[in-house]
Amino acid sequence: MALLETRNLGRNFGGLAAVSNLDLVVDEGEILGLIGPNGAGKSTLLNLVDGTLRASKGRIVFRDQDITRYPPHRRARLGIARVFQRNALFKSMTVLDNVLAGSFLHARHDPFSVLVRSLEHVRRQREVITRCMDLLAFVGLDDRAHMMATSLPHGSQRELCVAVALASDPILLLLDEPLTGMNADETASMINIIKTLNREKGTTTLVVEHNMKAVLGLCGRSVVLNYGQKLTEGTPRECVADPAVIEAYLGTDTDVV
Amino acid sequence: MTRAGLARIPAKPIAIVALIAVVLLMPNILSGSTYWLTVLTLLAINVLLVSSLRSVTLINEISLGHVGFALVGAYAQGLLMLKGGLSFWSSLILSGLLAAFVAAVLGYPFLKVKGIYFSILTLLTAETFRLVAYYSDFTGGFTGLLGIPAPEPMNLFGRTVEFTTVNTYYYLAVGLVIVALLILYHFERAYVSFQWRAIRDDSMLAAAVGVNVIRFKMVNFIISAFMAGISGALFAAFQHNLSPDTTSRFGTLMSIYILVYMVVGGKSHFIGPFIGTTVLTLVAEFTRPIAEYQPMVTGAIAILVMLFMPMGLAGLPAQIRRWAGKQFATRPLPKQSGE
Repeated sequence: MALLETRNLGRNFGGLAAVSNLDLVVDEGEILGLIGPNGAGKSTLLNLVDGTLRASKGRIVFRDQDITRYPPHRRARLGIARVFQRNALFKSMTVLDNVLAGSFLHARHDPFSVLVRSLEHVRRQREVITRCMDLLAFVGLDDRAHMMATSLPHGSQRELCVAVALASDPILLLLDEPLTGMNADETASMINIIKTLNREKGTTTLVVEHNMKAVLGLCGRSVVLNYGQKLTEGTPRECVADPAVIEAYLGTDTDVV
Repeated sequence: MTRAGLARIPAKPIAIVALIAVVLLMPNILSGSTYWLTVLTLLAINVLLVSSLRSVTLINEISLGHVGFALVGAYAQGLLMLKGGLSFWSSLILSGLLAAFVAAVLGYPFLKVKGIYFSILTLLTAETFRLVAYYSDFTGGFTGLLGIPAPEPMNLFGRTVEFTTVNTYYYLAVGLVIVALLILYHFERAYVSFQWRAIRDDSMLAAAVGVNVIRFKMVNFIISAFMAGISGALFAAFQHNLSPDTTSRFGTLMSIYILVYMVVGGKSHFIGPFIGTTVLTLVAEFTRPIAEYQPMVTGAIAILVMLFMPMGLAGLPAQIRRWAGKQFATRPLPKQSGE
């Protein structure tokens, strides 16, 4: 069943069509890999799905609901979580506070109970903290919960980004190059995190990634973009073997001078 | 929110209570010196204005237009009391609400832009308000608004207290400023702090985790404009006369001054505006014999603070602690980064 669907989706930057006429279907419970050469429109597509960018044309449907005109925070509340390509973290907060922020923010706080710090409020706060510590344990950061987020090394920051996104219990997780700049161990542990999440919680994941080996191991299905359009789709193995894909990445013989 | 140093917290309320006690006993300490009480009353009003300015920095914006909201509050107070015949208290609240309303109308387009663009828009708004007050007959034109009455006498414990002199108005102003600061503090610390911090740190990520960024920015801007309006209203009822002149406290120069107060005090601390405003006001008072060089003195202090105390005067204890930690550490500091 389709969880997310884009219909004839397009986005222009001036005269450049970063994404055009894109029909993409993300099925519930799958890990879909989005691949393509630089400038193919992968990040633009993620920005369109999470609402950072508005679509120039076409529609985005999430769980049978047209979300094309929704601002990012409403999409987040519907269950779309995003991990940015850069290490986007709340810099003034500790590791735990980052995850708390990720989960707190769409819980509605009744101003009065916050003001008087009612028992109900304190109890709920404790629950949230326990849940966040569990999440940190899941990504392997629970021992560093009280450090400043920015003092973590790159790989751990990346894992924290994922934990922040997971704090909202997302239905659809958008990962923008989660493995960039990671060493072999970190890559393995990140792949493990994504897979475990998918297996145990059934989180549907849309992942943009350049590391082909990881895509082969991670994704059941992949879509190749080129010049903002869908080049091909299928299992990652089929896609990699497709002559059109090889041409998009490497060019044809005639291109070589 | 989690806090590592729980043991340090009890010291704070004690310090605050002590500070409030000193502030309340000030007329006795100064044995009723009208001059110094006037200075202190204006200081309290300025502390509120600078604190409201600092409040906007919580969403990572610099407003250069808070004197504009102070002007709206001041003129509203004056006009409501003079022409509307309302009491001090009701016009005080209405002045704050009017400033907040103006911020609510302007906030949406203004907060859609960021950084220097936001600053420029607020600067121009303040200047526009001043020019409207300057050229409109309704607000008294360039002569300003004259003869704003003092708050009406209050009946306290069977004693009638008049607010016509600074000795009594001091208590009224300081009391209201303290209440206003407590409200600001509450907003910053408890109610919407996570949202504001999240927006300040990374507004894109904040939106991605479900914060309605523009709404919480609006909440911030409106509260801060309300407080600026209140400070203006307190000023109006204290000075009895308002001038829309460039050199008045509603001119651009004042916008810059309150910015300097904030930076010198340290904008990352709630107490910063209080410290910065107090220090620079006292410096201004003690350099009165060389009044023409006074802006230079203020400027020099601002530059020195920015160079050597990037966190402002309020950040000095933390800076000293860190320095001492480095100098006298007997064992290496715990590693900050991971393995």
